[in-house]
Amino acid sequence: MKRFVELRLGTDANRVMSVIYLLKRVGLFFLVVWLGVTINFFLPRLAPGDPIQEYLGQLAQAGMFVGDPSAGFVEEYRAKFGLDKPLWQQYVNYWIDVSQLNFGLSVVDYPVEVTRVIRVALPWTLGLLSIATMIGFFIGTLLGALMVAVPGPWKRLLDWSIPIVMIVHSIPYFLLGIMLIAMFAVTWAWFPVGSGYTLGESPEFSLHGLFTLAKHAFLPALSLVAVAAGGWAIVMRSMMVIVQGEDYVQMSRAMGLKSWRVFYSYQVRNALLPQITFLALSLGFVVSGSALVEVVFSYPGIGSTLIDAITVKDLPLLQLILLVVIIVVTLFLVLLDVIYPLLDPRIRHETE
Amino acid sequence: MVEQIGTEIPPISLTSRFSRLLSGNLLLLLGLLLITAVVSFTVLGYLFVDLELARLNAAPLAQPPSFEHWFGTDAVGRSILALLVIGTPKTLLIGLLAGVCGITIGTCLGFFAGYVRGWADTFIRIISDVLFVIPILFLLVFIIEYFPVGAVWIMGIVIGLLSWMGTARTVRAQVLTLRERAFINMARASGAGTWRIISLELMPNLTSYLAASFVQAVSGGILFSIGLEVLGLGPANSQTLGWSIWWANDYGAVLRGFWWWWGSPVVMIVIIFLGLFLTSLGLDRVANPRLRGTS
Repeated sequence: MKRFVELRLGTDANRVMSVIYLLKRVGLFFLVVWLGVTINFFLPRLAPGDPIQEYLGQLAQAGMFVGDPSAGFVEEYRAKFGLDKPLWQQYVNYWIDVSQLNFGLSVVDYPVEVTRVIRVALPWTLGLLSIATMIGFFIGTLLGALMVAVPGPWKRLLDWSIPIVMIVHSIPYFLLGIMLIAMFAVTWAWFPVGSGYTLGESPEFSLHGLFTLAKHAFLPALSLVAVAAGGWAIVMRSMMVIVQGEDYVQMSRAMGLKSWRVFYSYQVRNALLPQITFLALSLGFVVSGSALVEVVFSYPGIGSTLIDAITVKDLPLLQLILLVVIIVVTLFLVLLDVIYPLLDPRIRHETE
Repeated sequence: MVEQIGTEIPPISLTSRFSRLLSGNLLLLLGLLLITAVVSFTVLGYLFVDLELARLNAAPLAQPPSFEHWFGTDAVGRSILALLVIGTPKTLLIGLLAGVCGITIGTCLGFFAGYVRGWADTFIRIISDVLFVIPILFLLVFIIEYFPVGAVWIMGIVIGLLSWMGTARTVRAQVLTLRERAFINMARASGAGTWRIISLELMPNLTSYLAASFVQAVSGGILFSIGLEVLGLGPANSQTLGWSIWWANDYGAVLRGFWWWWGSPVVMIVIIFLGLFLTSLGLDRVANPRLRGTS
């Protein structure tokens, strides 16, 4: 490892270059986060429709008594959430609040802090999505690699899987989710229709609890895994085809290396590079990508919370979720830029 | 005028070029066939199906497919066939607009960034990074609120305006590698201007690649719009395929066993996606000859 680092940062000039690059990248990180948060701040506020009115409308729709809207209590609510001030002042206040890690109270779940709302929802999403993403990546990549490299009768079998993989991959995952519910939850009732756990109970840490969790997560996970694995397999397969024609693969074969060695060390490891990039990106999108699946399966995660926050314009909640999403995704982008040259020495950062 | 010496090469007609493109490219052929089937379905539907049946209570409630209503009817008394005939072109239009906008913007910015470099490159990179990290899908809701209810084309254009980043990135990378090639230097040395080099030297090298990413952009746009509509967040009641699924979901069609109600639009969407996907794979094969060896 040490030799590797020395190789990378050999001369002083190189070292200076890397430091400048890193500083630039960090600066860009903050710029992107700031711009993203600013857009997220202004877009919902400039759109027609008033969050308080919308919330009251929803209450009224649910059959609750909301009083006379003209009775000045709308104004009171608005003042409570700071929505009565001019836009620029709200913006300044927002950044002051963020710098103090004060994210405010949810409008819908008043008076629950939005950080609490998110803390409850986040584990569901992280658990379901990150596990499903990893499984999908592993299965798909393996399948794609084997499609190209496996010899003999097994190849025929894998060749037959290609059209199936393509068809499954072209189904949007939330529509696949609806199909899975119709088949396995309604017609055959092997799995629960929705939600993350038995209704009215909170998860307990026991064998039975884990089993219940897994049973509820299985269908949503399956819909994510099936579609994603197809995508990984198709990309991996074309990368393998390209790598297969490279001189170093021919060379390693001519040298008489064992076939699994050629397969793993020369083909897979080189074909894997772009896959790693996309894996990092899709892990970054775990939070925002989960919305549709969570809504279809009424899973209690951050995605369905986000959709709720949008439909009723719960600004504090919406802003915190988007802040988290933006920071996480930007972080993954930066990490990728920094780590990728270590994985693939052919790519060096040019100093411009 | 210089006299042409020797036999003149007959110009290749467009049709024979097209058939040459298709021969041996099963994926492209299948994909185009599926898309043609979908388009002819809507054309025939507009000619022969009574579209009045897409109104509320125009048909009996929640009937399974029968001779009279081929795809059944939904729980609010609409014929699913009529809904499909109306919804399919709308959904396709969204995708087409999103694809055209996205690819045009992405190509222009990508060329600009890759060819000019420097400040333009940095600037475009920052914009695309910002659009990339914000979950645009959700903020789209607030943009669409400005526009009249049911405006399908707005949705397509807005999606296109917000999804050019991938194209711009790859076009930029392609231009960066191409611009140092000998034939570009040759053109530059012979006094060709920037515009001429871009349109006559760089562009032809990227055509098949751009065609493939255009098809991908179309299906990406459709996926985006259907996602929003299934969540009930798109422009309300624009009668697209996504909205039919939303209606079905909202009325509990899945739980109540009305498989034809949610199933028909889902199958239609899957056929569209499969067609677009196969087409883009086929075009990819044209763009990247190294992929041609297998399958």
